Amino acid sequence: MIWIDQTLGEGLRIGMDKENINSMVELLQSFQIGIIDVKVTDWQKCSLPPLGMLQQKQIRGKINGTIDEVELAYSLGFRNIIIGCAPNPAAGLTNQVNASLLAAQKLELNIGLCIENASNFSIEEIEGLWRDVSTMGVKSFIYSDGNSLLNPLSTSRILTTIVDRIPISVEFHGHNAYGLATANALGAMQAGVKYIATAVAGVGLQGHAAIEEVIMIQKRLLGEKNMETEDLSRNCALILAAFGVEHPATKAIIGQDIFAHESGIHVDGVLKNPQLYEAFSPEEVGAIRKLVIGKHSGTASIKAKFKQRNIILSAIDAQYLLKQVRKLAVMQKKAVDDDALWRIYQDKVV
Amino acid sequence: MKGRTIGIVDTTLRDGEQSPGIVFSAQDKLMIATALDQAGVAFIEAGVPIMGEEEQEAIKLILSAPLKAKVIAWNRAFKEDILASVDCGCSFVHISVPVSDFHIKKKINKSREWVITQLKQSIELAHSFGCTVTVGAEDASRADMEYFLQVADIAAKMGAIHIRYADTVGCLTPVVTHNIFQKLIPRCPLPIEVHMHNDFGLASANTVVALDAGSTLSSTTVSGIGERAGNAGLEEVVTTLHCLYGMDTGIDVRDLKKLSELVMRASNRSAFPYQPVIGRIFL
Repeated sequence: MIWIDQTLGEGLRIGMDKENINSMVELLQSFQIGIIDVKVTDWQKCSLPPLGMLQQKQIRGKINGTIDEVELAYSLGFRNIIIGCAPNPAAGLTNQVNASLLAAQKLELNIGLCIENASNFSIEEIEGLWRDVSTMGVKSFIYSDGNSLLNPLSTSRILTTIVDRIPISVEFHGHNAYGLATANALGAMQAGVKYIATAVAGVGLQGHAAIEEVIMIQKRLLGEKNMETEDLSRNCALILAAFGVEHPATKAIIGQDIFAHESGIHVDGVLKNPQLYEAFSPEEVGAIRKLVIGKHSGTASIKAKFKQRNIILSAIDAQYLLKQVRKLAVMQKKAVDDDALWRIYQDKVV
Repeated sequence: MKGRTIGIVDTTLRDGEQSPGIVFSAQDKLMIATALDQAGVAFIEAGVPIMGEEEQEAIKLILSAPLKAKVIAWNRAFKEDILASVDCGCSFVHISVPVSDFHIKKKINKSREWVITQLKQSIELAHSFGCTVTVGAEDASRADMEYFLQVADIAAKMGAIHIRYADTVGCLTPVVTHNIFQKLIPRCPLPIEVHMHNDFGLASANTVVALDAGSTLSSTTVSGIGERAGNAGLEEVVTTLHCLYGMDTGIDVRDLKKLSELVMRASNRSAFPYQPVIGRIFL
């Protein structure tokens, strides 16, 4: 699978610090990124210099279907471009878009054609559109679900046919207005699409499939072996930091608290066998497991906490501490940290 | 399948609050329950009475409010759990049992038969106090489907009103979910409530796919708060059902934002700006 990155593009859109761009591009290479998409006008807006030789291979410029933007992309050094359009199904591509495709071809640019509103079309209409453009040097066809209209099963059904009928590389570019982007990306992958638009933590206007989720789905749910994911948490955290976005603590795969267990039943289970309540181990994504003591704790958690200090609690003491812990947690409306737990122990038990 | 009505079983106050560090005060719980009720949620899972006094006070407070929604207490299949719920005045009790061999052996070191005996005794006990019972099948996605159906049959024969199918570690994909529910729905004697976790970011998708396959009840939490990476989010599930599947949940989509703000405030958290439906980027 080859991921088409949308993270940097969102960074430029929100005006991220220019200093961070190169390090972000470097970090993104740690994933299996085919190419990084940015809007050409955002590149210009951020006053970035024309692309260097290496960047020309790494970065692709998105433009709308006008000759002006084709020329702008060329002058900024873009050699890979996407011409995006949202045509009317009945009318097909506009003359303007056709003219921009020809202009891009003359400049020998590597062209992707993105139908932003593809999910508004029937498969027959998409095929009809494709017949109009197939002679214009387009190297890849980008099926975009601009309005988040697809669900996982419809994505799979539609993309199976698209891959079958369109003879060039097909890319799937889903959005996340309803929270289905990762599942839809998976649907496209299962339909045989090789190029999938993703972003770290699913960032982007209207959101994208989260790259860390599709990677772990591939590894754990689709059975792809030999994937190195130990740096996933760290790299995503660094990218979000470069971005200026707070790292979400409970975000699937990368949240710092997704291996924090508090409730009595869960902690008791995790102490016996972590797989009872974990879909994969924290080590696998470079995270750590935490035992949180709070309102939902059971005696097993309290005992385990003290065992870490080589103290074996009696059942009565554990029961007593648990009662105090619950009281304190409710009173302060948060978990009970180690110091507070220790104080309760010192005051009452010792 | 268009035009069906889906009942929401919201567990913000139980599974949601189990997210490490979140503690709702009794007043928070009452406010959230009232807002869920006003939004049109059918069932509110309010908490776990056996946990102790603080929890019991909160549940009693919710039960004393004039709500249309059914207020459910969560229980293990143990006598002391059921009695704690009855003592709070609960008339709807959820009784949860592990159904995967992995959970039955590694967590409680018992047998399938033991689980069924416990379940039967617990349902009987709850019924003896006049309670209505719903049954939960923990770790159903890693269980033998035939055993899930056996539990469902027993629950149905004893008069439980629905059964929860829990993807406890969030390991289902939409395709697998669809296949499972297409097989389960025609054979399951009870309505199935789908309870999906978000460990791979698929909770909402798996939920709507299971509903599309014929389930009639959806478990959710506001903003998707819950154990680890959380549960299927109420906002995502309701909006997807309304906008993409043409299904009704009895919930006014316009109430969702206020509800999510209320729960985020009580949780002392803020929504990730890119979180669908409720994140800043989508407003």
